[in-house]
Amino acid sequence: MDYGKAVLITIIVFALGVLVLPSTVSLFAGEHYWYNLSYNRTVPCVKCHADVYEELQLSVHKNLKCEDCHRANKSITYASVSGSYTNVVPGKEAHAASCVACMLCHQINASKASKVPGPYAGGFNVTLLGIGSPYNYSNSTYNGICEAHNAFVAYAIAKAKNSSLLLDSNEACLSCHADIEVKMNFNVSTGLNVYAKDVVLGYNATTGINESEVEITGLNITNFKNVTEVKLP
Amino acid sequence: MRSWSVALILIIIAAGLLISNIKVVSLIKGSHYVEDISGNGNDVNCSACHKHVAEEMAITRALHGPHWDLSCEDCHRYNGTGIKFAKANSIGAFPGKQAHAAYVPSCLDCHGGKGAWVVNVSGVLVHAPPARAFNVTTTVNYRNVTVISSIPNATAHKQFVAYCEKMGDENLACLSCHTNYSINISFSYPDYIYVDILSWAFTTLTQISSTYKVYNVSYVKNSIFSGKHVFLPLKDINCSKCHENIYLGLINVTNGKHAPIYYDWRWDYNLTAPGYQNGWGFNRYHSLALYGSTLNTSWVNNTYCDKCHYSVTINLTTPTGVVIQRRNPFTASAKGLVHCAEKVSCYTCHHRNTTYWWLDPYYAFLNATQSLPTYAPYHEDLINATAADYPRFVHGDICMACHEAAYHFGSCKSACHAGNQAVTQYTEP
Repeated sequence: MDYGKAVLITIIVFALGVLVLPSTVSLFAGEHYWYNLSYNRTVPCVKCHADVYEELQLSVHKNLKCEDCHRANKSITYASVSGSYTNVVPGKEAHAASCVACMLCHQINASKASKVPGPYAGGFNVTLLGIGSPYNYSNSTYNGICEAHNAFVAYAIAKAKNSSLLLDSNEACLSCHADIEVKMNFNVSTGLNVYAKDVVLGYNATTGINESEVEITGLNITNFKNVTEVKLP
Repeated sequence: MRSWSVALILIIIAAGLLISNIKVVSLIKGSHYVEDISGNGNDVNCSACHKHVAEEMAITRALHGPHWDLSCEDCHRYNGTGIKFAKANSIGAFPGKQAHAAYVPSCLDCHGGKGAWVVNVSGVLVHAPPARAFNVTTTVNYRNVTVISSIPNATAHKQFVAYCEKMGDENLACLSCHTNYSINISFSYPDYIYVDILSWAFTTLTQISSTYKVYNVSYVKNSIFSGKHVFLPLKDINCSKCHENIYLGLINVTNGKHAPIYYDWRWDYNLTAPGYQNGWGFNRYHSLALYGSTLNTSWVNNTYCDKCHYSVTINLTTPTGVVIQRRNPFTASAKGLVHCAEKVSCYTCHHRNTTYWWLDPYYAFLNATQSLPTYAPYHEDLINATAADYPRFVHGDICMACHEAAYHFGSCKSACHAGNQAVTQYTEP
């Protein structure tokens, strides 16, 4: 029997031993060391989400804890232990954490967020485009009627309703405010069609003569071109 | 042996993956790295997503065209409209009201009224000049955007701008001339007009036929994106590009002529030279120079168009025979009521009681109250009937019937003076 075969057989025997001898060796070291979650202690998210943690340290949100965002939705009951283990609240809509829309904390009067609200991201209006959202983007003062990116935000919301992608308008928010790669395909008009025709207007008291002019009878944008933009992180 | 080794390697790789896969990755890498925007300026880089727009602006800078020294924020976060944009600085974060990051400006936001002062990329205060005629009366619409509420009638492109505004974006009209945004134009003209002559008197004139001829102009400009951010220097805006039919009407007879042109067989285009005067001793205002027998078409340029349509400073011979160089202060263009071209007809200059009357020593010919030359009473009837009842383009067509015959009837006798008949007059570009 050569050396490789011997190593392989040893590994297989060891693996079988791990599986069939539970009373002797735990499958994972530490699996019987349960976290104490009493008095609202939380599990260490960073154990699984170290990459997120690393990003967060570079972020303007670096002073926030994971639960400030992901357990902040007042309309969701998360599993928690408010006091000792006798005061356990089982999760309803979520157990440990929920995905979060940026606007949960950054909407007008972010009362749906249980933590301190972030600054209001005012100046958007998606209802103008017929899009509804559970979050308050605008009111009569902060009406967002001039914002150039309303369509982007509105489409992100509409798309989120029918997909498992990010919540609400998050893609739009992150495109500008986060260090992510964004690929955009613009379909832009590069020209205009104008239809002009000589017409008679009649007597003009200002000029004192009968007027004619070249009237515009039709106009539309045309010559569309596809252009791809890539924002690199 | 080989199969055992492969199996061993696979097991080691699987074990490695099991150990290293403790971490999971975000759905979108970088999504938790939210950037700090608390600097005093706009810390979100517009060009990161709008690189092609930035490239077009670079072309504008190379051309030294309008806006060459402006930043994205100067236009798209312009603070002169009352729009409050979201901003964050060392003091705190301030939500936007009408807009968050940027808005689509109306050109008139800066170029309406008396213009506006804007701080350019070098920190210097620069003036955005008013867009003459289109700036006369402006209002702010429901979107806080400045729009035109009244454009003077004398402005040649009034209908174009007004129609774009009606569509909700008057910028399109501005962009068509001032940027590399392309434009296709379909001009429709009535085929011809009828003049009925009975007993040597004009009885009726029908100005519109049921059929139209169409002339299509396609002015495609190169662009790496939409072309809307390549702002052209004013010298590069060429009237003839959009009004190609008129240009052709000036340099040849293919599409009918646009104005009575006298080709002068001189090379120096000297307005004061004796050979440049007409039979009555006055300078030929409409003359173009010929080199040998070839027309120098380069003379048909914006300067030439301006002579009629913008009343620039020119050499003029007054009725008393004095040659002066000046701009007519009574014209609509001199009053700031015209943007780039004034809507004119022959009648505008060649008639008494118009602002241009003094340009024309023979204005009496077209005025019923004057003592008329004995040879032209009926022509005067026609012109006066035209003035009273018919519009500008008909005026031009009537005048051109005699003054430019290449596209029309062959002779006076065969066309108008052969007896009682209806004269067909083709219309001009």
